[in-house]
Amino acid sequence: MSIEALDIEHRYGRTVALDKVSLGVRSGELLALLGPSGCGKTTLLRVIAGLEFPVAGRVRFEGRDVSRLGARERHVGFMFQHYALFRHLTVFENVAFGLRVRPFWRRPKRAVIAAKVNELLELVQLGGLAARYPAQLSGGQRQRVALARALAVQPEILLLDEPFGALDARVRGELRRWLRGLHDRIHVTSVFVTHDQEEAFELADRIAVMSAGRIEQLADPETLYTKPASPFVCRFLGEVNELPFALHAAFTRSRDERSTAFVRPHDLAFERLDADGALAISSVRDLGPGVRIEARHASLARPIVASYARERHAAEPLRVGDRVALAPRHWVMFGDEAGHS
Amino acid sequence: MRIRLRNSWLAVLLAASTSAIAADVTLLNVSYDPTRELYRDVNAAFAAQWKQQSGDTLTIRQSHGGSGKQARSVIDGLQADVVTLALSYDIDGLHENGNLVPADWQKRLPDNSAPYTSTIVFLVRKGNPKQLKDWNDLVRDGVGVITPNPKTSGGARWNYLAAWAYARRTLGSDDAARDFVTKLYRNVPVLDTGARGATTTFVERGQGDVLLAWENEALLAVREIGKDRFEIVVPSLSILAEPPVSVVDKVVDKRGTRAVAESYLRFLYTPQGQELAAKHHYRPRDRSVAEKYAADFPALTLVTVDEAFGGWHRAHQTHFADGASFDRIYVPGR
Amino acid sequence: MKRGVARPPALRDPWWLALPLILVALAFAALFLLLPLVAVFGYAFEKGWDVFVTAIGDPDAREAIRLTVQVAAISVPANLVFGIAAAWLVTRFEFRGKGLLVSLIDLPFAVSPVIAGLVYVLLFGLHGWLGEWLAERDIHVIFALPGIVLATVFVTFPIVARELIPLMQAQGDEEEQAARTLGASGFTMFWRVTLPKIGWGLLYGVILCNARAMGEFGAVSVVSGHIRGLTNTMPLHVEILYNEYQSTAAFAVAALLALLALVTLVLKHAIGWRIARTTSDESSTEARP
Repeated sequence: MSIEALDIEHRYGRTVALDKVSLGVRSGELLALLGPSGCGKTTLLRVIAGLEFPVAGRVRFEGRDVSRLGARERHVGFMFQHYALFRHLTVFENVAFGLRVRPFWRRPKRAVIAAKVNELLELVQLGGLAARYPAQLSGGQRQRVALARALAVQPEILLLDEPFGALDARVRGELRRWLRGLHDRIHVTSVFVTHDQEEAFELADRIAVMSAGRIEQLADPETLYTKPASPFVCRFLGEVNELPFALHAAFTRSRDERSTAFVRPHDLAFERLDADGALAISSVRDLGPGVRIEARHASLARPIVASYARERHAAEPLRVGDRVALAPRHWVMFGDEAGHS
Repeated sequence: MRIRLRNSWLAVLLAASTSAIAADVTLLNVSYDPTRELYRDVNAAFAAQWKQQSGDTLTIRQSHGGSGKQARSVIDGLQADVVTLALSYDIDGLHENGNLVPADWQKRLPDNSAPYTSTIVFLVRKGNPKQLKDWNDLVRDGVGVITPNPKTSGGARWNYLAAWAYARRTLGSDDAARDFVTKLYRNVPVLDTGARGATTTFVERGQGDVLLAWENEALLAVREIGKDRFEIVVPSLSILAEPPVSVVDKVVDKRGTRAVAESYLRFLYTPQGQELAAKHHYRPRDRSVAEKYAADFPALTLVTVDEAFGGWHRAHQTHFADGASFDRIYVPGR
Repeated sequence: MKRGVARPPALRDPWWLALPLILVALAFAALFLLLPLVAVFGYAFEKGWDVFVTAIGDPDAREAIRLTVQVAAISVPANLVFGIAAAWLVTRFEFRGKGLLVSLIDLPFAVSPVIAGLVYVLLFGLHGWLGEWLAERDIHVIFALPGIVLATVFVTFPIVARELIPLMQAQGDEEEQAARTLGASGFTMFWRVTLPKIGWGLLYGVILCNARAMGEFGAVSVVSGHIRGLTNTMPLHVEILYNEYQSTAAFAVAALLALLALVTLVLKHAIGWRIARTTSDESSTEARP
């Protein structure tokens, strides 16, 4: 089931949360809404769910206008950051809830419900925990119950609001991979919200990067990383060196004095100069997996960072104080000229 | 089958009609505080009599409270068939606010619609150790007088006016009376807010030598708490209270209880009613009953508020309003 | 929340500070709380069990007890419904004037109960705003049961609402949102999700509300009419007995009210303990995966 959000405008009091946002989600894809806090990603998700109603704009599911329908009528599965499990019900009863609250003419028989619930609990690998209460589960287990519960009513759209935000790093990683695997099996159209770039990249087919109530760019991960549409996207997706004209003219051959070259640390190398230069190595740190080298230039407030693989650095080690020149492999230009090398 | 059915219908009809004949009637008597005991007995006696005469079962409900407050409630809609209050002033209020009684209500029953009277007396310790016989004994040094605050207690105002009336009569002028009453209140160790409090102070806590109280209230207190520990002294002069009674026309006409209500009030004037009043230490109007109970009700000079002070309204303005006589007489702490 | 763990020495108050303060607190409690309670029961049974039973068995007393229970039986469920509705409105919706509504809910606490009673007299009395209208239809509000119930509902209204509002705010409404997305209707969501969550808090509020309703004096005194055997509740009856110099009987009825207070306290404590336990269970998050 595809989703279309058209020209959504939303406000909280005087603050604009969504500024004429349009988004299209393809049927069966897993799309991430990525951005810093306050950018409107959760609001957009809730508007799609029918938990909030925008001031203007429309939402369509597979072409059908659902703008006037509430969450209950839209039949979407929603997962909350803090699980929102019914604390007074067992795991089994939580998952069965959606089926049990159906009006009696649509309600499945008890045996059918039980079968479905057990099937889902097996799917999320919580088979033996049906009789437990949410308070007795770990965070990761609770989130899986929440997912089973959402899937029980067989929604055609699954919306997840920072589903792993409340978990610790190791559990988060495990659940991420697990969710991706699940999605590969059950191709439910899914949209999830996150502020973690790594998570978005790992899970999503496409990512919408948002800032201040607008979608800055909507594309697959590779495109986002290599061809960011704006400096914001570029900065948000990872650490990046912003080199002014004085420093980049040498390798970009650009004539625009107001342009800035954005270079990722792992796309950057330092070439040792025998002669004097304005750029000098200020720090060399062994981080384990790689080596982080910083160089300082008089005109820059922050150092220029390069990250080297261990072997590469070992082959040609640099030391603090060495004068160097910049040798980037790949860069993106912004300013008057937003081109690519 | 058919016949039996018809018979049962007849039975129902008959039952309904007989119950219509022998009806259940209720009356509400809104009264003031001290009359509780009196009306308990009066109601029982009258209900029995009414049942005999008319076959109806009569239930008389009572409500008691401060006289002014009760009048206010009736004005606000309390469905009183009769009112038996402390002051004609209060029942006048029923006429002025909503015309619940006609203007000439007081003339409808004998003796200004007051079937019994009462007065202020002294309650002293048994044996009267300080030999308190009259008002002038109360201003002696070392005598403790217990009376509530006239600013907060309706009953206390009667105490004050009685003392003033005595002083003016015996000493000749209002100025002399003021001095007298000032001295009297200097002998008051504790000024309670209400009659109940004053009674507790005197009877249970044993403070003071004399309590100023209504005749029947004093006897009631003695009976309930302090048998054989107190006695009543009647001064030479005291104030005459004529608590009036009346039907509330608007209510009895709406409820259709006028006949019963008027009969009820007239009962108070009958020998039986007057005996009950005397038994509860209200001075009866009926001469023969009064003679019979003469021992309980010693003779004394009685003046009314109207005679001595020109009516309650005037009395209130002169003595009890803010900044009036009492405020100038009684300065707490002195 | 751990129980039974002593505070480390550095965080404990010195004995010369703690002991006097504890003694003062205990003395205060003994003097103002314990002593009156003991006195009430003491005076009630001063003349023996028979006198006590006679006092309670007196027709007017029995009627007063019956009326008190009847008034509570109407007021408490009414305030239960109003309280839930008010709490729902305040915690689930944003609207202009919400702050005003919250202040209005607290109004009965700020206003003297006597004023509350007077307000109803001014509204429904013969000379009140609705007086004539009611008189024409022979409807009796004040000086009858409806007036007493109204006055009692007014003074006890905030209790349930004030208990529920912070509870519902703390609990948030995510579970309700989840229930909506799963297809629950408004009523189903309330019945299956909200009610179990607020259950204990609701019970707590109901118990307090009941205690207050049964013990209310000021407001009821104004609207009652004091008709013996008809419109006197237990607190009013106690006053009457006392004014008639029947102290023992007055204390006997008062002892019943005191008993109610004690039962309320015990129940309140038990439920409060239960609530604390449930919230501590919920807030404990395990670290194991």
